[in-house]
Amino acid sequence: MQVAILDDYQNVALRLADWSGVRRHAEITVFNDHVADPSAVVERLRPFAVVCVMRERTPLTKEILQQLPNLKLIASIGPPNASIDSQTAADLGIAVTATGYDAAPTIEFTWSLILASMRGVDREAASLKAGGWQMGLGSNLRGKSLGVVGLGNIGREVARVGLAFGMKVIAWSQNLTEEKASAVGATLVDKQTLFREADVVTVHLVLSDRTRGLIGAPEFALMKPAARFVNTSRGPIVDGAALIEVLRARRIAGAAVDVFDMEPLPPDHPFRKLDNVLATPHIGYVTEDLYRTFYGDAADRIAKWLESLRVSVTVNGHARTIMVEPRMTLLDALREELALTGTKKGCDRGECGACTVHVEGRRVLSCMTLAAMQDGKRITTIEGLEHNGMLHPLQAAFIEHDGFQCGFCTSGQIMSGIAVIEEAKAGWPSAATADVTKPFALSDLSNTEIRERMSGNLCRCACYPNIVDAVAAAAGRY
Amino acid sequence: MHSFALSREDDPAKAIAAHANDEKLAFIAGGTDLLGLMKDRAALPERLLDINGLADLARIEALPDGDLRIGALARMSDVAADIDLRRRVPVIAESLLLAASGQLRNMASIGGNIMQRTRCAYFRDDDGPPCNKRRPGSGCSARRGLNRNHAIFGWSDDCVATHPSDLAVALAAMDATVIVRGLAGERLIPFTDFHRLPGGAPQRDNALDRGDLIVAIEVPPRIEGPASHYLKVRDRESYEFALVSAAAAVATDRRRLRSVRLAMGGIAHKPWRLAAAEIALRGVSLDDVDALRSAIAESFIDARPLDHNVFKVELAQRVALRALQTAGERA
Repeated sequence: MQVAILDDYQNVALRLADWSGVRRHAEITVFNDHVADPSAVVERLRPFAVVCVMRERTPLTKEILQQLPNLKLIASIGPPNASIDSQTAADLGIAVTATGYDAAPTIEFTWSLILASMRGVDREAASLKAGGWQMGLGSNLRGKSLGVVGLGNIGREVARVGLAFGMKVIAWSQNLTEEKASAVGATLVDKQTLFREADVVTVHLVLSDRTRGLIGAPEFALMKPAARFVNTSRGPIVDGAALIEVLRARRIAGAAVDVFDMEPLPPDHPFRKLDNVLATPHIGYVTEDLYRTFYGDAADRIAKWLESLRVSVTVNGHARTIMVEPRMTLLDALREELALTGTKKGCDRGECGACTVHVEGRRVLSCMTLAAMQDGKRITTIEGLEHNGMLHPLQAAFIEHDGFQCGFCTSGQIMSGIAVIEEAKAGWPSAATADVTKPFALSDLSNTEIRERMSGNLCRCACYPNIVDAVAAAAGRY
Repeated sequence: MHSFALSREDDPAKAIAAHANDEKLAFIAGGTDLLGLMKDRAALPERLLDINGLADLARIEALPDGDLRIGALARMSDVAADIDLRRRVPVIAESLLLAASGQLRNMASIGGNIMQRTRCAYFRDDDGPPCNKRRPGSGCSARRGLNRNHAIFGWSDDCVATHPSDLAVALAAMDATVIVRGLAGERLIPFTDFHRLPGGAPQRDNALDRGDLIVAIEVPPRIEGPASHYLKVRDRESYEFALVSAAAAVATDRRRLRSVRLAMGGIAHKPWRLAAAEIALRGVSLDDVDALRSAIAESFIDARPLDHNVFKVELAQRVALRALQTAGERA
């Protein structure tokens, strides 16, 4: 099994997490460089069963995924990743996992850019390194207006910090309400007002069809000459050409951007040259703390996946495929993975019978068998007994004979009772059979026989006499 | 349960090699005892090898020489339902039907059944009281503790546990053979040598080594087979392990015992053959209850009950007598 870690620019993935759980089952290859061309991506990833992708650095499109027959798992670093075609992945049977995430690094970095841009830190530091001294004037934050586009998890916190600096905070986004804005201490304004009044505009939107190109020439035209534009969310939300144009014409004081239409940024891109742009290489989330979460979670999830097994079963007539850890019992798989909660967990030790189901037509205790050992098997649970809206004869008999009180053991009792009748029909004797050397027939299934044969199913409400009557009645209808 | 890896092996040679070379690997068939042990943390294998796909190991067949061959992967319920076996050796079918529950009998394999570990509550206790079976050298909590369910024969100060299998008692009585395949090929272990007495190494239950795979149990034709019976006495009527049980098989000349096979469960670390009684019973009439009783007593002279199971000495003799009498009715 081969695992690839992509786009580890700083070569830190293996150092920041414990990959031993993955190494037990697989070989890890780390790529520190970025490949953009889809055919080169396919070429590189072809041998791998697992790829660990950092945020949106390498998009995994339908076209790419369809050419990776070995791929079984995408470990996406960070929250749900828009650059992975999850529908195609699902169609191809490729599992996708995500890691934990923390917005704090991006919130803090947004303020690094705002502060650096307002005070010309990049310009002054570069001058000093080149042998120079003071170059220009900075601007205060106190008393200025902060325009926040998008008051989500990040925008809200950026707004709070602005208030702490003594700024006036105005906010806009398509679905922002006055209530939500005032909860943060911001004033809801319309889009034009925000761009017209803000001294600093900062963008905190999720990239989607609705937000792509949302900010362009008309908005920049409204901005004050002393205003600054900051983007730490996603490049394509902004019309890049329009931004370059206003910066070239110096119609605003400057821009600070961490995100771009194309990443990594091409070498000849104007952002690399314009003196009124403070551009950074998409490092908003790039902190050691968050990387430890990213790679730690990824290593953990990949290891768990490598240990888990694919199990295809027919449950109540339906083909189902689930991924399970080896230690998962059939009972837990039915309840947790297939949401069939009619099968009950009583003792979980094979003592009470509440978990009884049929595997290949035979009653078994689902708590004492591993789900991963059921591949290819036919399983029936209490949910599968009803047929065309009609209860199974034993279900009907349980109602007629009042075979239950609290109901907790009932599904196990019914599954067991059906098997008791089938076993008697098949001629199986029991410990209550007077002479095991003689053939056994269904007509020999006395109440004593039923009691003995049902002894693996406990009922704390002690409905035993009625349960025995119900099984006897159903046996009589066979 | 703890985390472990699971794989499947359908080739016996590969399964044996994997087991031989890996101390942390366990075979799993029915899993009904192993998963219980794992849930109680009394077994912590790192790798399980599913052997249910091994070919031809689930068959129950009559061999040309008259032996009954029971594949190690045959399920308890299939063996108990086999009409040929029921007629030839009812004691085996009865021992199976008196064990576990209908569900468990559908799951549990014959090989796994005789490999079951003791139900001693101290051994099964996840809280970790001293137990030499679980942690060699830690001591035996049952020796001076609650030992009502424990041995009256063959125990040592290191372990007073009993073997829980009913089937094993019947197989011991019939002098069955365990067919074992290992790295060096196949070998036969007489059933009465398969399980061990605890001695100073109670962590070892039986004669198997790493890389040993039980492939079948063979029951030779015995003249006592058809007139056999299994009697089990326990704290509740059904679905419980034995306090005391007996497998009896007899051959008679009219009402007089020509030969007797008697083995008991619930009284030792292994199925306990009543050798002295078997000899003493020869020639005794089934109608002479006093003579039957005193012949059986021959095997209880050296009984060593513990603090809480003195009752087993008398109970076991009564169970042996009744099993013998019922077997005699079939002669």
